[in-house]
Amino acid sequence: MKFKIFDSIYVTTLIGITIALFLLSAVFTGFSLSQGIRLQEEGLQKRGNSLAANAAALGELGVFSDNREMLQQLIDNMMQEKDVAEISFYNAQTQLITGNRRYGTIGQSLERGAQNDIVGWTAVEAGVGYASYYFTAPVFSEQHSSALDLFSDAPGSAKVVIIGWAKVELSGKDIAEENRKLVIRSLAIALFIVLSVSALTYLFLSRQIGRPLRRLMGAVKEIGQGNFSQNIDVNVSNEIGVLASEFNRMSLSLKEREEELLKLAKAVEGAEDVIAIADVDGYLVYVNPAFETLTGYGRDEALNTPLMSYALSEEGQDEAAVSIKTAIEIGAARNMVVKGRKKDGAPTLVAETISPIYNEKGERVYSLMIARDISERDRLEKSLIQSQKMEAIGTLAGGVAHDFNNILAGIMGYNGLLQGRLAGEGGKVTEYLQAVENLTGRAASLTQQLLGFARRGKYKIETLSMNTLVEELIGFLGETFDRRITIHRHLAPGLPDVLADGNQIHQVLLNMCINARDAMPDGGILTLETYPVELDKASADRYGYEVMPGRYVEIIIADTGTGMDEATRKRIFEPFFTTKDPGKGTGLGLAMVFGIVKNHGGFINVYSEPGIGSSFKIYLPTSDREGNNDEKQGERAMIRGNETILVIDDEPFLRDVLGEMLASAGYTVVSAENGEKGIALLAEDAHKFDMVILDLIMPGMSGKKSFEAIKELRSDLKVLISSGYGQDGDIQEMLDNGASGFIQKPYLQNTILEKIHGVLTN
Amino acid sequence: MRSRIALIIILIGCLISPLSGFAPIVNANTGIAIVVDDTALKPYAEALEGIKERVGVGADVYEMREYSASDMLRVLEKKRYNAVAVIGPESLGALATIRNTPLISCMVVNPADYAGHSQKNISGVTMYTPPAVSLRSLRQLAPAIKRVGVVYSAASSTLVSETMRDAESMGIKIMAKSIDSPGQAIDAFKSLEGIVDAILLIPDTTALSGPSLDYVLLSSFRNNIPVVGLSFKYVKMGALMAISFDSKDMGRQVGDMTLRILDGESPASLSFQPPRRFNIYVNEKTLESLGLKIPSSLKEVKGYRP
Repeated sequence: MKFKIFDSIYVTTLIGITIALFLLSAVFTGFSLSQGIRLQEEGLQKRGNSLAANAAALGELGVFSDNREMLQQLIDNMMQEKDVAEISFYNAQTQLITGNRRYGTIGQSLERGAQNDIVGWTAVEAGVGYASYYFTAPVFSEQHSSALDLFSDAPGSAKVVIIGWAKVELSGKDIAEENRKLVIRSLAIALFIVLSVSALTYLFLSRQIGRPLRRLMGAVKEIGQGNFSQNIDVNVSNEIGVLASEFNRMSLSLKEREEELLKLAKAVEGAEDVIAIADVDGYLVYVNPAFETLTGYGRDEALNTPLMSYALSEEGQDEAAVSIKTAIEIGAARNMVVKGRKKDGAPTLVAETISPIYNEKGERVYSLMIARDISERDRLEKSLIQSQKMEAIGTLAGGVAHDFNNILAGIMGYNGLLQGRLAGEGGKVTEYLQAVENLTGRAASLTQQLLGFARRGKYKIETLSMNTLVEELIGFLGETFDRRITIHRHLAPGLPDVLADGNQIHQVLLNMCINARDAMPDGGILTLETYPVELDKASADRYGYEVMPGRYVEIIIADTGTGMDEATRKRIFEPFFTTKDPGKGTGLGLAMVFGIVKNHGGFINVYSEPGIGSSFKIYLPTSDREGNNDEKQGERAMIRGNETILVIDDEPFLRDVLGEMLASAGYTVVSAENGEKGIALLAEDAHKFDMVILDLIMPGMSGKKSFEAIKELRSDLKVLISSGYGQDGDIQEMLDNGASGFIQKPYLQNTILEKIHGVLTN
Repeated sequence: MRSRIALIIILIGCLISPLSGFAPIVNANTGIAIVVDDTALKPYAEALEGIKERVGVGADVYEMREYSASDMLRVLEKKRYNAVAVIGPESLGALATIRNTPLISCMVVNPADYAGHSQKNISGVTMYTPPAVSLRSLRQLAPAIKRVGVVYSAASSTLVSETMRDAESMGIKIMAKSIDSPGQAIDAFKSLEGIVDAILLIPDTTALSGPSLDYVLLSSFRNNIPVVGLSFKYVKMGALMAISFDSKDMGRQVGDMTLRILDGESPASLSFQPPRRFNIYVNEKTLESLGLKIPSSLKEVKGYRP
């Protein structure tokens, strides 16, 4: 509403008071004026009568003797009074004797009917703009009826008779002037009082009502516009002051409530969960922004449409339908997980809670739906389960591989020793021994792959250019693959390097390509691409449970082969899972790929459709990220030495083989079958040994505990860790704490001798 | 208490009753009636007292204000009095028609005016002071006075002539101004200013009517001209002196005349006599302002100091 100045309480009050004051002043002034004028007239009347009576008394002689001269003298005296307009004397017959008049002519006879009326007065025009007033008084005189009266001094002896009349006319000029002054003075005083009182009233009202009200109005306006920080300081103690302080409290309370509501509103609006409110008929009256994200429907589209159509956007879920309907129509709270579809048809999995909202009377006024898209969580849960499964398989495979490696190490060792004894004999025996060595080599390679999957395998980290690696691979494939297979490539220029074991990654890519070739028995297109990619947290989460955000190099190996169904795709990384014919595959190829990539901090993404083909995307972290540097492999050379070496290993045949191998190279070997015994030997004379070869996995005192005990006894003693497992956390810790090196079982004689030489000479 | 108040009222009534009603105040069959205008007026009461001193308390006294003229005449006719003493002009006016009973009057300025042509039964005492008395007294008080002014109307022409005669014998010149109406009096007095040494007032109603007396006295004061008045009243008003008859003695004079008539003298022989005894009143302040003193020769002067 537009505020007008004349709507103001205090302005109208002021106008009212001013009008009332004006009226009061007018009445009062009018009354005062009339009183003043009346008093003046009374004064005039008294004066006129007095003058007339005086003239009559003084004029007795003149009138009595009809002496104009005598009267004229009296008249001249009296006319000196400036307000006296006329003095005249008349005889008893009211005929003029003599007189004097300032203006006009004197009447020849007295114009009075009642001659006895001595106080009468009448206003007459004086011809000069002022009324004049005339007064008459009889001239009395004593009359002696008899001569006796002349002697008598008794009262009443002489008769008093009227012998004539004196007339006095007073000019109204002075009284008119006085009246005019009186009017002006009265009006001025009235005006002054009215203006003063109005001004004071204005000041008072303005201070007491106007200003506080304006502040209140301003504050109310501000609050209306949402600015609740209003504190009015009106500084008056009247009702408005009380109103203002109540207002301040109200505005503070409103502010707090507003902040509370704002907080709630922000929480609701910013919630990642869908919050939707429907009226009792089930029609939406509110949805938050998350609603659009979940359903694909905008707020404007959704409002005033049934909640049901969003709560259950895919049919065929009878149990959920009943539950939702109950919740909406009856007001019972319900929790459920339902399958849904977005506006664009994309499937969703949604966890919903529908509950009633009651007003203060306990009546159900709204239904509240809180919903969350749990598709991603579902996927991550599945990914976690898969990871845990792979982890379990890896552990199992690693254990098996460890035992195998120990056995193979024994076989290799004995075979090596046998070859050494029979060297130079030639013939079939040498040939057979060589075959044993080849077979154990293959077996070792197999366990190596198994360990690769189990991420226990030994590897050597270096800076690699994936483009170079892929180029080399394509060169190799071009020569070996069927000509019906066309190889396409797209290698991103300026691709960042990766930190990886080149051999293992090469093996990975080769395995992938071989699988692709096998999927295209009738030929097709093999595509190799590299891209630099950067994953943020959200996209990293999309790729899987253990994927870390950061920069990666993406290597895509895609074929146009047979493709896989969903069931196959889920299991392809499991060890010994194969779709190939018996004898054609070990089922360890992709398991190894999975293990190696995982071991490098990367991950694999697979997309496949039966009949169309498969696409494997391998992601490896770039070299500018944190990575491990492994020891460098020394040059191969025939090594010999004469130091004393303590071998601690629970496998008797390994102790024997290793003792033989080292002794043949000139070393003195002392063996211990477990950690306790090894430590006991060292405790006898720690400086007897130059080096300890320590198995990691032992019953009783473990390799790690033994290492710590060795360091206690002699901190500078060189310790080489040996294990059938790959390099893991414990080994890294021991290396960090002063272990001199690590060697993976099984190993050839030369390999261990090089390692020992390296440790002893470094 | 109430009966006592009633008794007092009855007693007062008994005391008052002889003074009221038509009955004569006193009736002792002396054959003399006294008719008075109004006993409430002091000079009349004094005159009544004087008469009764001479004729005795047995004379019947009537107050004229209680009777109409005809009733009064009828009463007097019925009683057949031998003589009637009359006090006041009203009573004399009413009884002047009586021809067969002697009427002896007083307190009338000029009783002769009431007597018809050849009427012999009226006699009495006049009121005015003989001019010779006044002039003599004036001469005694202010010996330097040569010219005395008099204003008069035709009614007083006899008195004025007498005055002029007496004055002349004393070497005093009377400057008389005759007027026809009261209105001329002031101008007449005014015309005497600067000419006369004193003003002698005579009992003339035309000359002394209205404010004329005031004027004369004021003029006297302004011009230092002594005024000789008619009675004590004039002295109080500022006149130098007044020579006035003695009312009681005037009553005794009338009583004496009544007794002489009853003894056989005719009223005509007694005629009208001036008063025998006068009182001289002097305003001492006026006297001082004129630089005069009361001489030792002037006996029985009654001084008045305002």
